[in-house]
Formats: sequence, C-alpha cells, structure tokens
Amino acid sequence: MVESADYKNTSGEKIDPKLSYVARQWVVRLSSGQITAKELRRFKLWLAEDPSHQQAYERERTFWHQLDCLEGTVVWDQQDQELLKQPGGSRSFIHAHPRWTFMTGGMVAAFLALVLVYQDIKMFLLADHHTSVGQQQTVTLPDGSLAYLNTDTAIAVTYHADERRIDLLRGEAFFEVLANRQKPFRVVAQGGVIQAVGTAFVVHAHDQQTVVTVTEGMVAVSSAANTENLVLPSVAVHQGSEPSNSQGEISQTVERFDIERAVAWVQGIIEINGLPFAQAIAELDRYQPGRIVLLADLTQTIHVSGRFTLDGLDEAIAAVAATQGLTLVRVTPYLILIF
Amino acid sequence: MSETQMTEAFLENETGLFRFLARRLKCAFTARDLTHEIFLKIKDQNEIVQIHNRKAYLFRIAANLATDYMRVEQRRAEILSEADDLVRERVEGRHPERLLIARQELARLEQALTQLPSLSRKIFYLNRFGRKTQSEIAKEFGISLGTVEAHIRKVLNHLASVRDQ
Repeated sequence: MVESADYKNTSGEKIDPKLSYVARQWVVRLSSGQITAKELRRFKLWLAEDPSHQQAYERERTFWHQLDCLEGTVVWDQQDQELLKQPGGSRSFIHAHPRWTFMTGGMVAAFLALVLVYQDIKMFLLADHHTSVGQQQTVTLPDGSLAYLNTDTAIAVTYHADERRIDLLRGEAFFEVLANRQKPFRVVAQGGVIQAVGTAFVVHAHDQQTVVTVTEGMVAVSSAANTENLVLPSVAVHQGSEPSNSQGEISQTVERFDIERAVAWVQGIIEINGLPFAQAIAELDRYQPGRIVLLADLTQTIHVSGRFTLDGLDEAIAAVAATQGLTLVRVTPYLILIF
Repeated sequence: MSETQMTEAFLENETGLFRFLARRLKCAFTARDLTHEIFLKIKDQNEIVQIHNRKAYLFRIAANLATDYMRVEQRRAEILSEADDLVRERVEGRHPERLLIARQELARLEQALTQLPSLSRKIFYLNRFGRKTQSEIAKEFGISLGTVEAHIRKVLNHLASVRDQ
C-alpha cells in the first residue's frame, strides 16, 4: 500500500471542492488558538453531519500537516530582506533581469498601496492610540480617565495644565472621565467640541456628523473648534440623550434613546435594533477588514434587529443576510457579496 | 449605604484590591481590568444596603471576580486543547512517510508560495515554522487577529487550489 497516496485522496473518490474549502476554514480556525466554545460545538456538529464532511476534513487536516515539508525549502527571510533593501542597492538590474521585472512590479504595487494607505499613515502619525478594523482597546489616560476605542479608531491625547484634550481623529470612543474642575476634559471631533466634567460618554465621528451619547452626567457640545471660544452657545446634553453635531453646526435634535445599545460595543457586543438592512450590514462591516458589497434589491429588504458578539462576526453577517433570504458569497476573505 | 461612601471605600482600597487580584491572577493587566470591574459593580448597585465592613465587602467582590475569571480561563484552556487535538489526533502517530509529499508536488507548492504576497507568506511562515502564535504575529505587524487568520487562510486556500489542479 502506498501510504503517501492520501495526499491525493485515500478512497479515490472525488471530494466536493466546496466541502474541501469549508474543511480548510475549520482547520485554520481550529489551529488559530482563538476558537470559542460555540465554534467548537458548531464544528463537531458539522463533522458529524455527513461522512463526506469527515472525509473532507481528514484530507485537509492531513494536507495542513504535510505543509510542514515546506519548512526550509524556501529562503523566506532572505527574500524578504532583499525586497526591503533593493531600492538603494547598487546591484545592476540588467544582470538580474527576472528579479528586475519582479521588483518593478513590487514597487508599483508598493506605490499604489502607499497611495491607498496615505490616509492611514497620516492618522498613524497624528494618533497616540489607534485600533485597526475589528480591534478594540482600552487606554488609560494620564489622569486615570479611561478611553475605550472601538474598531478603526484613532485619538491624539494632549494634556496641559488647564485642559485635558482628546482629538478623535477617526472612529468611535467611549470616555469615562474623572472629575477635575480645574482641568476640563474636552473631546474635539470634526470641528465640534464636547466638554465634560465628571461623566461618561461616547463620541462617534461618522462621515459628516459627530454623534455624542451621554451615559452618565452631562456634557456641553459646541461647534467651536477653537477651545478658547468655548463660551459660544453650546447645547447641554443630559444623560440618555444623543445630539448629533454635524460639521460646523449643532443639530437641535436631542433624542432620548437606549444607552445600553450605544455602549454595548464596550463589552464586545454589536447591537442592531430595527435598522434598515443596508444600515445593519454597514454597521457589521465596520468591524471586519474586508468589504461587503450589496447587489440585492434594497427596496425589497426588511428591517433587522439582533445582538452579536465580535467573535461571531462572520455568522452575524450570514444571519443578517439570511433574514432577507439573500445569498452570501465570500469571494475572498476581504470581499463578501450579498445578492 | 450611599454610593459615595462605597466609592470612597473603593478609592481607599484600590491599590490593595489591585495587589490582591494581581497576586491571585498573576497578571497585572487582568488585575487592572478586574479592579475596574469592582468599581463598576459597586456603582451599579441601586439598592441601598447596610454594609458594616466596606473593606471586607470589596475584597469579597474581588475574590469572586478572580474565581469567575479563573474558571473561564480554565474552560478556555480546555477548549483550545480540544481544538488542538482535533487537528492533530492520529496524524502524528501515523507513518512518517504518510505525511511526506512527493518531490514534484513539493516543487509545485513551493512555486505556488512565491505567487502569494510577501506579507501573507511571511505570516504563514512565522506561524508554521517560526512557532509564533497568531496574537504574537498580530502584535508584531500591528494588525488585527482576524487579518492574521485571513492571511493564513489565503495561503492554505491557494496551496490547496494548486494541489487540486
């Protein structure tokens, strides 16, 4: 018996490529060191569902281990280091022709990537603390106040003798502020200033408007970017209300609403409460690095509610799509189509 | 018991509570998080209860939080070890040659690897042969855990597609 034959397939039968794909995703998830109890249960159910699942899984699992053979066959680090030092090197490009075309391609790609991430780099340089997509972080500020950063968020921290100032450069943050009347706590977002004394509130910089949610105490919201002009008319916002501060002006709409929902993300929970389908998907999309493209007829969709955890984001997206009877296809890990 | 009295008691004992938790959990970060949780817990208490020994009460909360935390961690370790078994079981006990790949197949896979972006390859390499965990890699590259996993998935899917050609 040829033992290594199971590299192809032990039984000689054809395994459905779709099953192989699913099995591979499970192999990666199981080896990630991040799997949750719920996922593990789902995996075992999947495995027991059909002998073909077991077969596909065995094959992919074996393949995963066979990849150990690749160790040492490719000179990884050297290759990568060469990629890094190449532009300044004195090596003649003509002599290394294949490499040259490779390098040009690489440089063009690097340039394009640089243009694309320019915004990110700018943020990165300005920011003192930042999170990438899908990440959350708790930051202890110099005075012991806390800032919880939601996904894809950046803040800059400036503490002076008479002011504690946070610039929300992007995203959403929840602040728990220690009271200190001598040093007002101010958050600047898209030209609006939120001033707090001892309180907790969320600031979310949307595309064109800033939404402030107060969970405790009271804050003053004004449109003056210049903190010296803080005496300008400002709206006092009480606990449980949510005024939005569009760029440059304060909206008069101060609504009462559900605080729990607005700060659920601090506990790693995403709450969707009767949102239109497209908005619900956009909300989930904030937490994952890829893009979700909606090809479906949105006029046919119904409103969605749900409570999801950050760990189960993929399932959440699938579940929301399922409520509309829509099909979800993962083209790549970074591109999901819904139609 | 007014809320402010309890808060005061907390502030007085904050360092002690932190040290207590750090000793039990052997992790300063978790201890800090749980210390913070104690504060939230006492602030959440709406009913006014008469508590004679505020300090003892606070340490009682700390001990309970630490126990809960360790229980969850224990459960977590069990899950990870079970997942690890599911990927490894019986594979390692097999004849070594069963895990070998024919030379020409290996060459094809190597070739396939070079078609992948350098970052994906590097992450895959560090994870497989550099014995780095996904969270270590995420930290090193400043990317999210999900992104690290996506890179690994991408590499595996690509190699498998070459295998199935």
